[in-house]
This record gives sequence, structure tokens and C-alpha cells, in this order.
Amino acid sequence: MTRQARAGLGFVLPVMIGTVLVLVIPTIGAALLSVTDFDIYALADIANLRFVGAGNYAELLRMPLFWRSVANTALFTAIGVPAAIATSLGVALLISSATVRWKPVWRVLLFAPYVTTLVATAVVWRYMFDRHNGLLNYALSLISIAPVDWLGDPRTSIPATLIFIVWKAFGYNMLVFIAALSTVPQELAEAARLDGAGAWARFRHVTLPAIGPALLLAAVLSVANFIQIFTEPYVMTHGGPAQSTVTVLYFMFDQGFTWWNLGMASAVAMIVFVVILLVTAVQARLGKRNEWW
Amino acid sequence: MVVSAGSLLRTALVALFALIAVLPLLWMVNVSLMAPGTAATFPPPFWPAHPTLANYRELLLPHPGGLTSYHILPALGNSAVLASLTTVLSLLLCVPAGYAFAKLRFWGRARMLQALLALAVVPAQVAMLPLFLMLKSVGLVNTYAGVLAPWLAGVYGVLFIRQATLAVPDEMLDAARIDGASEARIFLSVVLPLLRPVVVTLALFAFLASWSDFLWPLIAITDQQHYTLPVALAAISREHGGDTELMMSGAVVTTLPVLLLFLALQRYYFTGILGGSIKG
Amino acid sequence: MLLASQEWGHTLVEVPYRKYDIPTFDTLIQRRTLLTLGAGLALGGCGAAVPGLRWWAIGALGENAPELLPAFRTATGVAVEVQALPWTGAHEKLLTGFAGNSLPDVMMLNSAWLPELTLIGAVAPPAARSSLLADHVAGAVASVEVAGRAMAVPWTADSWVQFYRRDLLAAAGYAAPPLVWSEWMQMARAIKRRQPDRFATLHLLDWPEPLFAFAAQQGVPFLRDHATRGNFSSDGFRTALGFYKGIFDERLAPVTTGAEAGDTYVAWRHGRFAILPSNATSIGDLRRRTTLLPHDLWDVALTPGPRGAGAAMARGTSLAVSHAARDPAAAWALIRYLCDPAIQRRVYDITGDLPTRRSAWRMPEMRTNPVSATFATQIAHSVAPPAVPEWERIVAEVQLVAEHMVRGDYGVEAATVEMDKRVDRILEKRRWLAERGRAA
Repeated sequence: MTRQARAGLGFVLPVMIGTVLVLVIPTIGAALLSVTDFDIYALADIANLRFVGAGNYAELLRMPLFWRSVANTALFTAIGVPAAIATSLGVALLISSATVRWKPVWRVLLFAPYVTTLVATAVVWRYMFDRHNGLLNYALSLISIAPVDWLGDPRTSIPATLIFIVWKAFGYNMLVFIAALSTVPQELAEAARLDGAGAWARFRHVTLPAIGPALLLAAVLSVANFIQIFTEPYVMTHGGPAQSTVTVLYFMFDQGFTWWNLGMASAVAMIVFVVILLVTAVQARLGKRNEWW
Repeated sequence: MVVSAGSLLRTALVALFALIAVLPLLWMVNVSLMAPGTAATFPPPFWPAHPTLANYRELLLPHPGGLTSYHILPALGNSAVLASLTTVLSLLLCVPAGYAFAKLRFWGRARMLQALLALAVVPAQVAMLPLFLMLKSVGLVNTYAGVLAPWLAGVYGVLFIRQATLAVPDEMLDAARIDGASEARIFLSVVLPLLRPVVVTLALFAFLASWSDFLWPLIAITDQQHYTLPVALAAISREHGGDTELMMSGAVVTTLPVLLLFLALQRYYFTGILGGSIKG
Repeated sequence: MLLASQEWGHTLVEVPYRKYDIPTFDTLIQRRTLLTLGAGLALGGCGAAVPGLRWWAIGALGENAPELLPAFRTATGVAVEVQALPWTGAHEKLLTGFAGNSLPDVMMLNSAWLPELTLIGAVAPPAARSSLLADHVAGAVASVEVAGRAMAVPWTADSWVQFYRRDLLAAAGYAAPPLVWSEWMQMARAIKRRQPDRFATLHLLDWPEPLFAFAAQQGVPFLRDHATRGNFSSDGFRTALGFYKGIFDERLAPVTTGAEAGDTYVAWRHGRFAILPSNATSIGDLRRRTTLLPHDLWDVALTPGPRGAGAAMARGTSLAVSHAARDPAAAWALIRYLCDPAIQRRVYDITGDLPTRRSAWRMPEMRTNPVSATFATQIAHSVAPPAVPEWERIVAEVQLVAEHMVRGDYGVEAATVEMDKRVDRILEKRRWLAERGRAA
């Protein structure tokens, strides 16, 4: 073995061993747990453990709350991803236009929500959404709109949670888009303008092709992130009202760590795993086509 | 210098967005300075009538007679220690490995890299339930080590460092090798200085991620002596969610340290994320 | 160790007794108890260093517990570290503590959790004829028994009553809420008529207690087939559920959950609703907030029933030693200290939680104070929850279905069917264990 090979193995082995210990083995463990009925009884006495095969999965498919959580998560993703991407892109486009002044200041301010601590800002936003004294309803009252029970009404709880999520997360993709926009060839945009192309046409034919890869990648990563929403509903609504903000991971947490149905919770975890795998397969295809790695 | 109307309009629009972004944070500080019970009025008061630190005193100082204590100060200490340990751990594990995957030739390199790429898709939550049982069997639940355990897997960190290291020219490394430098020496004195912005970014990432982490510490820690700030804050919010002013002071204490850290290091951070493509 | 008790004796002589209007720890504590405590520990452990005790206490009691402990420390030399758990997270915290081998030495429990904690072996029972189990009010010891064996020591007794705003009821022409369902509804409608944008009562949709109180009044068991199946489609439960639904249908209570309700006392003060069904925790809360809600503004009444004052669910707490206690003798000494009638009486002064010890109820003001007297009556007419490990989950699941029903997703009939379906699923493992003779 050469010196370089020895050094290389020495450099990578610690992280590889760590990864196997805390990621690979537990993931296999989750797959195994998901075919048992490991619960509080089994925790007390392992003799109470039963092998149930696909029983947990079949049971899940019959459970209304599981489907509810799937539907909620899908709704979160379907509204959240476009909203988040549009916000990031819109702000990035705006701040990237050549004539905007004091860019570094705006950039820091716009990025600040991203670095704040989620639990803390969830507490702040729960207050912003307050039905009686919240800032949002105050703003609405200024334009004569009746107060909305943001987090208390099952019809507005998901949009309200999404407002918080977009506020918290848009800064990161905004940066990515700013970077991508800086690669847009200025001469091309200028030429198009001289040819009489409108703002939309210039965006469509000059800007979009240049930032397309970044946009697609951000969209796919956002989908994976939105599928894993948990902390926001946990802190803001406890999954309510009427379970309207119970996401798949919230459901998993509830089964696993509230009631200690580890078998059932692991089955949910495996389903999330497979869905994310599919999403990432799409990402990998896009990546290959665009030679990102 | 002439300022065009378009420039002014755009700048104003960006400023408006920036205001919306920081408004909740300003609001949080504002309410945290209000006397208990005074925030619950309509329209919301935009400035505390009589600014007071009472909420911070209530939150942070021990109460007379050993009464109610929110354990925020110990939590602040725990969060600081755990986030620092996480940062050190991540750097020690990920930086050498990321460099090796980018620049060194060794047995199994391609296969291990592929495995890491594949593992990047495993959601952390999938591993969480069995990991808890594993830690239980070795008695690490409710310890710092237990909270740190998931950070032993450095999938993203390794890939991030590898990506950045690819840009380091091979000739520099070869030149050092010809001079007879050992591999460790090359890593420490040639590669590391070049990677500094990326390493700082990774460090900040790890620190922020650990500081904000909620789900795992919530499960892995049972003693309030070991609570991190988010867990302590969530616990207070379940019992005192109605005490708005107190909760806001808790939110300030939780989020201010990382905001300051970010402000101090923001230049590195932006450069690290964007690979230097941002010019301030 | 002998030193510790000598020191205590010394302190006893030196501390001058103060005189307060309300009886306090100093005047009421039975010296004998503490002296026995010290002596007991002296026999129990002979190690040089006394290890500290870890104690998990819940809710307001947990937050105020440190106030109770200095005398114990002085008597025994044992330091106690209290961890306050919020009520909403206490149950899962205890299970997680058991799963992670990190339970404390002493645990405060909702007594309804004892069957579950007994089944998994998380609690160490007191000695069968322990004096700790003597001198309790009727029903208290039964509430901590699992399969005939007391698994913990009753600490506080509680149930659900109506806290009402005198002025708001008076304005509607009532001195106190009527105790018969039909008349109660008339009063509620009268309140609603006066101010249509406000409400008569507050039944938070994630609080199971109001519904279960109405159900408890029906005298029909919640579970059937040796507690292996739900009995929620019984006529009795359906009647209770219908009454519960009617309150929302007529907009007499807002459709809202605790997670977004904000500060209920502020809302109550603002008159957003007139009647707050609650338990003894509110006595303590209201005592701390007299500026917000002066005492002459409110009073308490028994829970209404179909034909007069009705039952509610018993909701006692108890103290248990965990299976993982490092020093059981010290843990039992702490429980003995905390369950002393004088300390129970002091707990009432601090948090409003009511004593279980008969001698505590004989102390000044307990029977004469109308609030605690009303609670005493309600507690005497309370119904104990079925002793099955799954009860906490069943309650949560049934209340979720009830919330959906209130929001219009189910009718009463369909809701009861759905409840039974979900409860039967929860009890599936229990049926399997019962077939093998292993169920608790």
C-alpha cells in the first residue's frame, strides 16, 4: 500500500465507521422493526414481541389518520414548494438588478430568518398569528378584513404554517439564485433589450436558461425537505386543529415516541424513506443530465 | 451621483421585503421588553410603554425561595457546549475525509463515495428510532454523547468539502510530495489554508444545525439539566404559552447568540455557500 | 447519619414559630414525622455521602415543589432535585424515561397511568400494609391499586367542577349554574342571547374531561369484554356525546383547542365565556392572579348531570418510587414526607391541589371554604377510569374523534362507531395477551 493510500484510508475511515454505526445499522434496524409489533409491552418483556410481516403496512393503509397525514404532507409540499421557490426567486431577481443600492445590507437582513432558531421563531409566529392580538390580523384590520383564526381553523392552519416556513427558509435558495443570476450573460440581456424584447421575454429566453439547473435542483431539494416537515407543527399547533397539520413525520413521532409503537413508527419511517428515495432518483437523473456531479 | 427613479423604486421594494423579513424578529425583541400582560391588547402596542427587563429577570435569574426556575441558563450552557462539540466533531470527521475523496487515490474510494452519495438520501428520522434503542443498550441515553451520536455520520459535510477541494490544483500537492512532505503535512499546511472559507462555512453550518436541532435532543435528553435551548423553550411554551412577553424573552435568548455569530461571520458564510461568486 | 437527626433536633429548637393567618408548614408540620424520617434513613443507609434524589413532578406542583423541600433536606440531609414536567408532555416523558433507562428515583403520576407503568415494571410498590396507605379519603387508595395491589401512594385528589363568573351569570338572571342538563342549557342560551359574539362555556377540543364527565354520569362502563373492547356505542355514551355536541352546535362553546386558545384566564376575564370547567389547578392559578380575577368575581359549582349534580372523572395524582431508584429508602422517605397531612395541606395553599389525607381535610378552612368544600363533594362523586394500560391512548383517540364530530366530520352515531373501531385497534395487543393469560 502506498503512503497516499494509507493516508487516504486513514482520513476516510473514521467518518465511514461513524456513518455505518449511526446511520446504516439503524436504518437496517428500522426495516427489521417495521415487520414486528414492537411496542410498550415488548419494551417491558421481549417475549411480547410478535413478527407481523407486512401487518404494520397493511394496518397503516387502513388508518384514516395516516392517510390524513399523507394528504396534509402532500398539501404542504404542493403549496409550499412553489411558494418558497417563487419567493426566493422573486427576491433574488429584485436584489440582483443592477440599480439596487446597499445590496450587502439587504442580503444580511433577508437572510437573517434562515439562521434563527426554529423553535424560537415558531413561538414568535404563533403570537404573530394570534386571533385577537396578533400582528397579522392587525394588518388585515387596516384594510378592513375580518380577523382570521390562523392556527385555530383547520382551513387556514396549513397556509399559516406555510407562511412561517417560507419566511424561515426562503433566504437559502435566495442566495443560491443570486449566485446563479450572477452567471447570466449581461451582453445577451442587453442585446435582447435592444431587439425590443420585453421583461418577460428576456426572463424567459435569457435568464431562465442560465438559472434553470439551479432552479430545478432547488425545487427537488425543497420537495425532499417539505416531505420531512415536523418541528413547525409540533411547536405551533401540536398537529391540530382537528389534526389538520399532522404530517407524516409528526405521525411517526407520535406513534414512536408518544405511544412507543416502534413497529408501526418504523413502518412509517420506511415509507418516508422510499418516497424520498424516489424524489432523489428524479434529482439524480436531473443531476446526470446537467452534469452536476 | 444621479439616482434614477427606477433605482429608487427597486431599492425601496427590496427594503420593504427586508423589513418584512426582520419584522418578526424586531417584534420579538419589542414584546420581550413589555411588562407582563401588556402585549395582549388590540391594536398591538408598537413600542413598550414602559420598557422593562422583568421578563429576562423572571426567565434567567433564580427565583426567591428556590421557586420556579426555567433552567434557561443551564440550557444556554448545554447548547453552547453541544454546538461547539458538534462543530469540532464535524470538522475532524469531514474535512480530512472530504479532502481524501477529492484528491487521494486509495482502495475502495469510488465505492465508498458512491455509498455516501446513496446515504445522503436517508432521512435522519428513519434511523432515529433504532438509534435510540442502540444508545439505550449502551447506556448513552440522556448524555451529551447520546446527543452527539447522530453527528458521527458526516455525509453532507464530506460531500461539501469534497466538492470544494476538487478546485485545488493537483500540481500544488504533487510539488509538496516531491519536496518530501508527508501526506499529513500536505493536508495541514497546503490544503487546509486553501480551504479556510469552506471550513468556516462547514463549521457555521454544523454549529447552527446543532444549535437549532430539536427532534433528536427532545428524545435523547430526559433530564432538564441536560436540556438544550430549543427543548427548554418548547417545554416552557407548553406550560406558559400564554405568557407572551416571557416567551418572547425566551425566544430572544435562544436565537440571539446564533444571529450574532452569523453577523460576525456572514462574509465567510456567503462566500462558502456561493463559492466566491458573490461580490459585496 | 446520627448527626443528621441531631442537627434536625437542634434546628427544631432554634426555629421560632411564626404566626400566620393561614396555617403554614412551620406551625403544622408534625415533628414526629420528620424525626422518624431522619431515624429511618440513619438505619437505612450508612454511606458517608448521601446521594441526591431525582424527582419528576408535574404542572404547577412541579414548578412549586422546590418550596416544599428545604425542611426535608434539613431533616435527612438528602438533596432533592426536582424536574417540572408540563402536563401535556408528562406521559410521553415517563415512557421515554422508562425506554431510555433514565427514570428518576421518585415520580409524580396521574394515578390513571399506574396500570401502564406497572405493566412495564417502571414502579416499585410500597409495602402491602404500609402506614403510607392509611388515613386517605374514600377511593384514594383504590385509585392507585392495580390488580388489588397499591402501586403508589395517593398524593392529591381532584376532579372537575365548573368555575363560573358570578357577574356574567347574574346578568343572565342566575345566581349559580343549574345542575340539571336541560336547565343548564337554558342558562347557557340565556348567556348567549345577551352577547351573541361570546360564549357560555369553554370546552377546549383537546380537553377530554368535559366529555368524559358527561359520559361518567351515565353509569355505563367505557370498555367491555374484560376491558378488551371499546363500549363507546352504548346508549349511555351516545347520550353524553349528543349533549356534548349540542353545546357546540348551539355555539354555546367556541370551536377551539388549547394549543391556540392563548391565556384562558385572560379570555375568561374579558368575558369571552362565562363558565370554565376545570380542576383544582385553577384554584392555585386564580390565587396567583387575583389582580386579574378578584375572588368576588367567580365561584365554583358541581358538574351538571342529566338529573342533577353529576359525576366527573376522578383525577388524582400519586407518588411512586421508580424501578431504577438508586436509594429506595431515601425515595420512600421523600414520599412519606410529601404525603404528610401537613405538607398536603401546604400544597393546597400553594397550588390548590387538594389533599388525600383525612387529617389534612380536618385542618382549618378545608371543609368550611366553599371552594374546597365543593371540590370535596365532587371528588366523592367521581368515577375512576378503567385500569387498563392503554387508557391514556384511548382517551386521546376518543377525544380526537369527538373533535372531528364537533367540526362536522361525523354525526353522533358515526362518531361512536369510529371510536369503538379505533379503541378496538388500540386494544388488539391486549386481547392477544389476554388469550395467553398475560394481560394486566
